[in-house]
Amino acid sequence: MNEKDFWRYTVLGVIFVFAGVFLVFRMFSLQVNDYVDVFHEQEENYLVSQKIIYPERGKIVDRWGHLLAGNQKVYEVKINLHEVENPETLALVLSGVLGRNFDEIYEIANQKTKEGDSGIIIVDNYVTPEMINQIEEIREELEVSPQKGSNGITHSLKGLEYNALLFRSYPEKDLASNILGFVNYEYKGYFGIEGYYNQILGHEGPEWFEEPTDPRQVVNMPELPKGASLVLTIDREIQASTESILDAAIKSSGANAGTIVVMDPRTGEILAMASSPRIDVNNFSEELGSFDKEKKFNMAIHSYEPGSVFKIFTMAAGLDSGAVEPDTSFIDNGFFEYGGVTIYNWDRGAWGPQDMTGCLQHSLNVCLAWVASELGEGRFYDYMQRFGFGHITGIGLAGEEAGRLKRMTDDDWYSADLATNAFGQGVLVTPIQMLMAASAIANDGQMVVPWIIYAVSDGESQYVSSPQYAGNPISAETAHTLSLMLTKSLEKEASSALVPGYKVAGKTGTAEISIPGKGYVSNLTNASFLGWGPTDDPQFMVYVWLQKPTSSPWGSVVAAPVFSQVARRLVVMLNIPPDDVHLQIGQMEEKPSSATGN
Amino acid sequence: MIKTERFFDKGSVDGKNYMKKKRQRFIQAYSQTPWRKQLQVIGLFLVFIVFSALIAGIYLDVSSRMAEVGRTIQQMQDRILVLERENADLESQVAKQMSYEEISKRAEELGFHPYGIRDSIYIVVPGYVDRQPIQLAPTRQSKQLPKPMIEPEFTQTLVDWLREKIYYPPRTVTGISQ
Repeated sequence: MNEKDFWRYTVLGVIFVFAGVFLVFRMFSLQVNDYVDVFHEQEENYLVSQKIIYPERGKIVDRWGHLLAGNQKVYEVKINLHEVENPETLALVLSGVLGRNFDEIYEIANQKTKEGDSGIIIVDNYVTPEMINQIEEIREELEVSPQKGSNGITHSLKGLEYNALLFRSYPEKDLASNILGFVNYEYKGYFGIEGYYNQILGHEGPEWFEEPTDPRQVVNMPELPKGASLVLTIDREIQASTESILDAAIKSSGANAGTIVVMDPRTGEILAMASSPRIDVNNFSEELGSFDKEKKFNMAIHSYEPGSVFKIFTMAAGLDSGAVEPDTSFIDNGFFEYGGVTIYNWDRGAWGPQDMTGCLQHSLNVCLAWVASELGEGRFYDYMQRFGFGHITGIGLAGEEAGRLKRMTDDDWYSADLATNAFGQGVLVTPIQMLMAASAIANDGQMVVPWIIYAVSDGESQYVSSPQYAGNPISAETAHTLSLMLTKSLEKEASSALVPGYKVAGKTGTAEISIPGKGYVSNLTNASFLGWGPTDDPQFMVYVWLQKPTSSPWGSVVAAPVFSQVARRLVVMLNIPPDDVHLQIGQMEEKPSSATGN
Repeated sequence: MIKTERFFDKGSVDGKNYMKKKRQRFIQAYSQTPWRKQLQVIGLFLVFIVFSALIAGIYLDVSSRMAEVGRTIQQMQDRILVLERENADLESQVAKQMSYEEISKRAEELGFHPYGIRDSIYIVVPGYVDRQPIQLAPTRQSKQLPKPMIEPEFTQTLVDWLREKIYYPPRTVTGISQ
């Protein structure tokens, strides 16, 4: 190596050494300078991106698969302050399309972002796809033909972002809304099925998930299980028909509120549960004001004093215990004294000699109070306990009331309560409890538990419910006898509850409403009717309750015809042939078997 | 020169020098030349570089493929979410169109009316089964373990096999094969 080359290499070496030293120094200074924390913070901000996952809430369908509660796409609208070019455009569009306040949006869109701030502000929630389409159309227009705003800046919707998510939808609007309940904006179910089965139908709310921005770091999205779907025992057509009859009845009777419940007495399946008032649960926040202390979300699980319709159970206890028989004679002199109170009939009249069918037919308080006295407190309350009064049925609807059946051991129980309870005064029951208890009479003494969830499906399997029986409060013989007595009493009365071609059993009820400080007020009543049919082979059981009817206070006038209307629709919808056709079918079926037997 | 070597006595001084020289020549002949040693070092360095480059290449390839697959998985997960959302939304839209209110309205427009108690005619249909409630998924049943099955090849004779092939030809999906 000559001298010239030596110097060249030395200079080159020195340059490389200095460059190396500089690089090491720079690397060191970057690691320890004042901005290190800021850089770290910024780095962490970009390490992951926040994602929101909305698990799909389970569907609710009727027994034939009609969707009663599903999920629909809505949008969350947000402004990304880093991207905003013209806040005026955002304020104009969002106020025009979403109906938001112009100044409020302008203020949000015009604010400066802070250091390290994501700059994303959610301005509206649950925006419909139609509104988003409108915004998109405006965005396209602005891109095609740019215009300048009053601030001199070109109109731009940059910075306006939206995020699709699922929210509860009720395609049938107010149909069966009293059964379904609703899901609020925090994704929590309230009332009805949504409230009772909130945990089964889905998670309570959305879940945030951090997705790494580094594509090499693949992480699984949290698998939020979809909610289970529920199949109800409800029949949409029967429900709609029943609701329509109830609405008409409320209108014509001037009632404050009411309910009609239809149950299959053989299995306990609820086929329809209409309640009024009723709201479109899609707009729950605006319509919840329809309810108050008296007008409950679901009147079918709300307790009240039923009045004479309760006499069915007093008579059932009397017959089953042997205290009375159908032809036991009772002379009604118009009053009955018991426990220090005097019981009068509904018309304050004396009805003379009556058998037990006559007592039911004329709904004689005096007679039924006497039957209860013959039974005695112990046996009467024992029977009422067996019928399930004072306990919730466990139907699976949020807010079910237990009612109240006083016990002899209760501090507020008096001897007179036995006489008044006998005709449905001083006891609190729900329509659904009444149906459960009456199922024992229609179902050969076997009492079924009412149920509304036919099946639960997790998408892979379906778990089907089956009828549950709650014992035999009365014998089959008592059930048959009482059923015939109730059928006869309706026929003799030429009741407006009758259904042409079909034998039906039932009982009306009119209960005065007790007002605090005033006692029972005769012009304010609860009108009820409990009936089932066909008597020989009961396939439907209907409970009607109209609260405070004004056209007439009597159950026989306002509630009984409603039962008839419902029953007329039911026999058609449930394909129940008239009694004579049923008899012919029975004979046709018997002939081949008898021929084989001979 | 080779010729003269033969005449040296191995014990003499010349002979010793001769042997030393011969040994040196031998060592020289078989030892690495400096440039060859440099080449070896350079070669090893190059091998190291190539090997490192290979490892780095493989690492880059694997990580880029991982990143690609990772992105694809993320995109597919997003797509699944979007499709599930679309599906649920469409289901709700269909339900709205098929709601009781809508169907009743359309039926009335077409001149239909609800049939009443007197419109019904009842006839006996032997074997008629009333419609059953909806089944969203197969009903939960206890799983039955498959029974151990011995293939016919282990049990049937050649004659049995021939008889089966002649009298019971194999069936196809569309029917009996020709």
